[in-house]
Amino acid sequence: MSMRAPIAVESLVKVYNPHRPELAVRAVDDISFVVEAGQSVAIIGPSGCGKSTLLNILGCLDRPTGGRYWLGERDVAQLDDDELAAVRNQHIGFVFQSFNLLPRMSALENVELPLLYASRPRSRDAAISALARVGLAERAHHLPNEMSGGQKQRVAIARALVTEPSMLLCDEPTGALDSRTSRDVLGLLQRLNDEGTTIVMVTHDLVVARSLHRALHMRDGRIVDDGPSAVVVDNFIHLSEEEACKSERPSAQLGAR
Amino acid sequence: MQVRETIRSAWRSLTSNGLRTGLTALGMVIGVAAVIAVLGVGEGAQRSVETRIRSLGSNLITIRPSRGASRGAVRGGSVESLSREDALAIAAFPGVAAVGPQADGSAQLRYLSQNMNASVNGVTADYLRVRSLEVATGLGLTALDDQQRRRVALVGASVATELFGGESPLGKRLQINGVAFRVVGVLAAKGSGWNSPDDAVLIPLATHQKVLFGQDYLSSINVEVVDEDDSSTVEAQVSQLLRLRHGLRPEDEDDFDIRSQTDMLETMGEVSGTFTSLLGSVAAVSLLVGGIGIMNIMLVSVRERTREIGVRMAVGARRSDVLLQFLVEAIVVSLGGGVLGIALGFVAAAAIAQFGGWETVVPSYAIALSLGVSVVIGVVFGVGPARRAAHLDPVEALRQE
Ligand SMILES: Nc1ncnc2c1ncn2[C@@H]1O[C@H](COP(=O)(O)OP(=O)(O)OP(=O)(O)O)[C@@H](O)[C@H]1O
Ligand SMILES: [Mg+2]
Repeated sequence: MSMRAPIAVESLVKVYNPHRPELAVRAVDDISFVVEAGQSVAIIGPSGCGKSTLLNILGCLDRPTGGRYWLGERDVAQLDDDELAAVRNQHIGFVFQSFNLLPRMSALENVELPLLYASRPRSRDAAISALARVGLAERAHHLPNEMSGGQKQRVAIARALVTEPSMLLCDEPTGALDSRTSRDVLGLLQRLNDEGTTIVMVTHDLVVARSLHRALHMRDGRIVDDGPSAVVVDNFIHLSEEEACKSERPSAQLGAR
Repeated sequence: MQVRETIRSAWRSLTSNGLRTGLTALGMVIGVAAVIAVLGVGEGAQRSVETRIRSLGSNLITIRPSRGASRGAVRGGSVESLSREDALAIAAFPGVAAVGPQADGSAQLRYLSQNMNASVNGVTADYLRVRSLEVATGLGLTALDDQQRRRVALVGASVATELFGGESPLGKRLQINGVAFRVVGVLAAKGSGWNSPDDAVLIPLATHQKVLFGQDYLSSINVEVVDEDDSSTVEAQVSQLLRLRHGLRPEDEDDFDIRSQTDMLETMGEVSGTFTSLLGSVAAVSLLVGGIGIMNIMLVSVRERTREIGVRMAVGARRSDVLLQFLVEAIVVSLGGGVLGIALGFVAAAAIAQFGGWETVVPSYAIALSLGVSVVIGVVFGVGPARRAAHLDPVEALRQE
């Protein structure tokens, strides 16, 4: 269904406030990796380690300070604003933690939004079938505030899918959902991945991370571990427990006295 | 993004905050209505002046004395440069159909116990023809009346009703400055207004000059030309003739002033045009205020909808799409306001005509002008906010709460 568009980043760097040394933050610090078409990749790591920053760059919403980013055949650094917009429209579907549906538009209209900006016009049928794919055909004319969180996220996924992009980038897609609706949404993403869509997902949920093919473990803007998700997640848990022990020990001693 | 979609989505976001949009558009509504009403009044004034001047008679050239000449004798504030002989000489030109010399004056009229002041003008037999006047009842003035300085009078329609009430004035004795005249006819009504013959009494020129006022000069010479296209030729000939007759040297200025009907139309047109553009520019200031209101609301709207802009960019909107979206919203508000303003302007013009008694005619160009100006205002005041929206950074915009 989708064109082959693997991601390749090389020495990627993002510095916030680069011109004000006292405020400068190296949110992404010399990151290199390749994502193959059809892969599902989890990005895990503690809060503030740069996951969203990395994902925004991958989604062409933000430009890196340094390094290379190859999206399929394209060197993203060479693209101008309009070309980036076209890439976002055709090749990338972005799913946000907070859904980001436009409140005054029905589910269907929200899903149609990317079609309005598509270079070649597509019919409303594409939007209807995208809604059907996420199982919300009968909710087409509901407004976002008439839907549950899980339904809203499914509408957002339908919107990401409607132009049939080769990859979905999800920033904590289940972060605002309870565990039950999370499972629905993840099941949906899983199915889309099985159908060939490349998925890169930032998540705090290690069960979710483990269910994907591969995981990247980030810390302070760097990738500290990269491999099959089960291995990376186990190492991550191990590391976290060690850290927890280290930080708890002094207080435990205090408590013993 | 297609234009139709853009307009539809602009309409949605405007109607979702209907009250605010309405209040914003109100500035435009009032501004455009004011412009339309003012142009309506101006055009109405122009037309009524035109009708009035046209009713003076077709193919008319009017010669009046002027103060230009230092050699012209001046007495009692008037210039005595035109004489009956001048009028006779002009009548000899082939392009001239008829000449109506005229001496104006103002006098007290009296009939039985009724008194009034009116213009009393001395004219010759051709005057009625030259000025396209008609006699409603009775007779006109004849050449014999003039030669014999008869005390006969032709009264205007208003004078007739005011002085004689319901009675027929024909054959009645009318006192003009204490001199008794016989009324021989009543002029057909021409409509009231500036210099209307309805308010005047016409008497033979010689009677006017010798009997009543004792002055030999003329107030004006009305010349009817055979062909309207020749009037400038006739003007030139008359001018040459009068300069010769008045013994003016080449360096002297004319001691008379020749105006054709076209000249008068132009002059009056200029006057009412100036008047209209003055009022119009006052009205246009309110359009400016309306435009600033639109800009203000658009800036607020861009700030409020920053996240929406971020979402649109994230799904592929180009900067130009965002720019167009906000520009179209501004244009829809100003154009919508403009359309309502045109409607309100017509209502206002009709009300002015109804209750103010002024003729108002909204010219059709005013509609096109208002629509055009509305669009321009939308663009001029919308482009700043729209550019601000278009230059937002997608990530920053999405971070906005
Ligand atoms: N616009 C910004 N200006 C300056 N610093 C920023 C900006 N956005 C993020 N940062 C900083 O960059 C670092 C990485 O932020 P980022 O949002 O990528 O973290 P994250 O891994 O997504 O965290 P979380 O899991 O809490 O979402 C953080 O230290 C953050 O404070
Ligand atoms: Mg984040």
